[in-house]
Amino acid sequence: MTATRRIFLTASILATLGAAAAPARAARPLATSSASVTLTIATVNNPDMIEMEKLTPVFEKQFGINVKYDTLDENTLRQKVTADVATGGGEFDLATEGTYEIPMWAKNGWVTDLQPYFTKMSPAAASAYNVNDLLPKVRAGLSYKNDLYGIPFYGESSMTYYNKAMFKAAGLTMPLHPTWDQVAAFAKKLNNPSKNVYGICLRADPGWGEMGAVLTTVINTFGGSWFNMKWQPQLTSPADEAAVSFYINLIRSAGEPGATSSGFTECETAFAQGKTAMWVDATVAAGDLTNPSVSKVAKDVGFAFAPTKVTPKGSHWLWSWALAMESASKHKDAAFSFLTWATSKDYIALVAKDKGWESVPPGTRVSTYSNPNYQKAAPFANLVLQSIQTADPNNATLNKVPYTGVQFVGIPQFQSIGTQVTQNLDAAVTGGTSVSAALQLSQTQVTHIMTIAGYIK
Amino acid sequence: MNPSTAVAATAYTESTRRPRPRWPGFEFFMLLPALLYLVVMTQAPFILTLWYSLHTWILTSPELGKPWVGLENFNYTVLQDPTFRDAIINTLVMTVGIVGGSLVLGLAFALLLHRPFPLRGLVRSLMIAPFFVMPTVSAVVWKNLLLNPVFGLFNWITTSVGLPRTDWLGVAPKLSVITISVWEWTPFMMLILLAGLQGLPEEVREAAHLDGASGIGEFLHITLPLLGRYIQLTVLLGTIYVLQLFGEIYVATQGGPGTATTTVPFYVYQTISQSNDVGSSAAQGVLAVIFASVIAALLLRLLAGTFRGSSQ
Amino acid sequence: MIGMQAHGGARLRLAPRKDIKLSSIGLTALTYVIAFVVFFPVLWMVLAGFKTEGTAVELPPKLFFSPTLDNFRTAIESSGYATFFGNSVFLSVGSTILALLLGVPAAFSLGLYPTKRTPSVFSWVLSTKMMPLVGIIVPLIVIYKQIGLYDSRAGMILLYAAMNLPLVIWMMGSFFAEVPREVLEASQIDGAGVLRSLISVVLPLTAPGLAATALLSVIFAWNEFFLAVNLTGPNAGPLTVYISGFMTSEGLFWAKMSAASTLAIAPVFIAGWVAQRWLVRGLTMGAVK
Repeated sequence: MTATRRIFLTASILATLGAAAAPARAARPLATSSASVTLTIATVNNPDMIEMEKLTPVFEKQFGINVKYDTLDENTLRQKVTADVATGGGEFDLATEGTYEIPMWAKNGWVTDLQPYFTKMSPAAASAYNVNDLLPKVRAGLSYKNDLYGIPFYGESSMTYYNKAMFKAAGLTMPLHPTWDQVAAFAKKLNNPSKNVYGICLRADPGWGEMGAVLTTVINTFGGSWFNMKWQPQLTSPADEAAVSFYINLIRSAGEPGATSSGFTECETAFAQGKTAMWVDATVAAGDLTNPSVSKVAKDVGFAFAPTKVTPKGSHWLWSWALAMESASKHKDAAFSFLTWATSKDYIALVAKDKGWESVPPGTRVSTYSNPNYQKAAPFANLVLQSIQTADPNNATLNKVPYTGVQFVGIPQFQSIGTQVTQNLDAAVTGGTSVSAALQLSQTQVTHIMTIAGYIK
Repeated sequence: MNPSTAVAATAYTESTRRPRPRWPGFEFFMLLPALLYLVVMTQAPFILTLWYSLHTWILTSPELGKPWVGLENFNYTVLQDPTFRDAIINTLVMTVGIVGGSLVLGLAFALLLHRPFPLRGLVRSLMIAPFFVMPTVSAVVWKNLLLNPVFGLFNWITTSVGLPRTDWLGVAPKLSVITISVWEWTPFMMLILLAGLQGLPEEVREAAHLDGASGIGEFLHITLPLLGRYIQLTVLLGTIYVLQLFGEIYVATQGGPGTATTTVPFYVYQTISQSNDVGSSAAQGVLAVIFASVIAALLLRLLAGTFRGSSQ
Repeated sequence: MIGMQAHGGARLRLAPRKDIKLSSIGLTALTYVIAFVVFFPVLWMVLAGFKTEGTAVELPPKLFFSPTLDNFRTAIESSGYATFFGNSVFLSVGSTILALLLGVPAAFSLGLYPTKRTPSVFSWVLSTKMMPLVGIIVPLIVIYKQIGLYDSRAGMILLYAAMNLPLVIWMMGSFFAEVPREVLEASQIDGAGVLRSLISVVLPLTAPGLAATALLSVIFAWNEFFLAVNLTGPNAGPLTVYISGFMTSEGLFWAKMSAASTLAIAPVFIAGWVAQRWLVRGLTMGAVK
């Protein structure tokens, strides 16, 4: 090959690369005043959101607005959107965030106050949407200074799942409002390791939103808390230590093996395969567990409230994934249209038509729960509704605390605090250290973090 | 000069009668584009990282601003942070395990594949396959479909023959992660060593065929030293890659239990994604570079000594 | 020294032929077993893609199950699959071509014309891979957003080429350095022949190495996840981002993820198969030196 031909070949390769670069950028049309707007939405990859993506063409046709998604797992989503808003934002118009982030981000001015947009709505649109239909506690969890900053896409609490067949065979009955002591007794009786069946599955994988979530509800219901009014960590207090010891000992004696790798999905798999008699976790699992193509025990699933001990306060959590508008978004009106479409009663009816009533986004609207179709398709509906309505982020502990949140502490440092503490506790779950040693270490670490962050003077 | 190349040389000379001048410094110009490219692409972000490491920047606490703190982040990480120390040790242990394991297996597999046998192409593809799978997917498959004590395949097999049910990731986290990673990286070693074997001279190549007991002796004394350069290459490259191992730990153990499998990259990830601390993670990153440089320098010295004949 | 003896390298075999045959069969059988064991997790994943979520982790595993194509359908019909796939191809092939274009001449220079500086150049090139990506991701995000390369294929190609360039330089440097001096000198009688000698003599000699390097570069780019997920959005994301979208924390996804991943490794498998032919081809070419 001559030099000229070689140069020509190189140039054409580079040109092709350049051309490859061009379409990807041009694919995003510029925002104009006409309806060729494209919204970019960062969303978590939970089943309800996947359904939302599937139904988006309906929105696009109705409003003439294009929508593009960035679908990510929860941790990556949180990290990526945080990095985006904290470096000036602008890559996303909307993002799914939760009751943990939204109040804090509202305070930082990272998400848009939606109240003015609701006020701007025409009376007809406002009454059709009916923002007052939103469950009050969920709505409160997404507000800052009484203004709504995120609209709940779905909400959840936690509850007890149990295998009715196993209970019947052992002659046991699960009460509707069990206590942790009862649950522990059941677990020990139903634990059968030689047959690879276990009494209970509880999350023990490290993470503030993983083991941290379930463990915090146990701490709450045992009368403990993360901090006292002076922001001093309470991990070595009698109530906290009792709660954590109980949790870890229950797992070690009647819980699933591989606990430190068991999160929601692993426990859901175990329960769905009939390998565990009980499971205390998010209410959203109900749909999967009663679906025969996913669950081998679909007909035997029983539901009960999350167990309690000393107080029912904080015994089951409140979480909502909400859609929030980034402050740096350039298409706020279009974004608001999407916000209200995806959380409207019409959307819920759309999902019902596409997937069935048992799969509609739960925990957002009162009207969903009073709908007879939903009641019929989802026998667990009332339990879930009551759980959500009795989970109060402002009153989740026996003693007064300076923070909000049921299964988390609504401060930015809690991400790292919760993860570090659960990591320490995992060493106790595998038997490497004792629970009190792990709690001591955690207490020291958390005190250090809180002092540096300025909470402890 | 032997007959065949002499013929080629003569033919070439005769075809180019007019002498053309050698470009002065052509070696430099061939090297320049690559170096320039690397400098631009890697040094700009690195300098910015260095800049961040000298400040405090917590993403979720914008009210703190981005104040200058000098070497404070480095001071804390090196002198006061116990987890960073654990991370360094874990990284060393696991890197040695993974590189060592995959080198031994990679070499063995390369030798096995070097001989002719039916279906060789298919077998080669099958053995490279682990490297084709995205690391996080591999880790999910290993963690949940294979290693899980409740519904994983391996425990089903072992308990069927009477062995106790084992929580691999809980009781042997490092070993589990090393196993998964060796499974993934052996094809890398194998591929390079195989290419090296096939680049060897004809005679040596035949001597490398393990056709019988006599072959092993020839292999040890002739082939292995000649493969020295490639072993050096695979160990060095492999170490640098494995030092950055992240996806497998993220999926399989999340650095746990406790900090048993927390390595430097994973710890940096935790710092940026849980603590949202850009300054500390930047400092940890810079320290990781220093750490890796030390290891690479030690390796080079060690390997150069072992394969003195083949290093230029 | 190649040592092309006229008699083609006769070797003395001291062991009787019968023993050779038996141990040869034994080795081949061993190879088949090892290949199966090594491939098994991949096979298990592929099979899981054909099961429902309920049967994917069922024990005892059903050897004969009725396969379903639902997961594959979900994987392909999800909006944007074609975009993700196209992006993966562009990014892997584009960055590999760029890395080879830059790296092969550099490796040629370093491997065949080393100077006193050469070891330090090699070391510096390697050092660009020592920073954990997690430590440098925020600076990269900031820089890319500033210069408008965020969520663009060009931006990712540039990054991946920088990521693979050290690999190309080191690997090809080693393969080039094995080329014997005489062959090199014979192939370039005068200066302008440097490039010609590179292309018509040296590269064919090192074809196995080039094939291995290109394949590895393609695989590294194809499977890269962390940079891709943080620096791309809906437009330039490759398959790795797409597959990670299945790993949800609130639902079962074993079968769906397996199906999506099976679809993702199929092209790489083909690339590997092609590269293999080169590996073999290099063998025959090398023999006819």
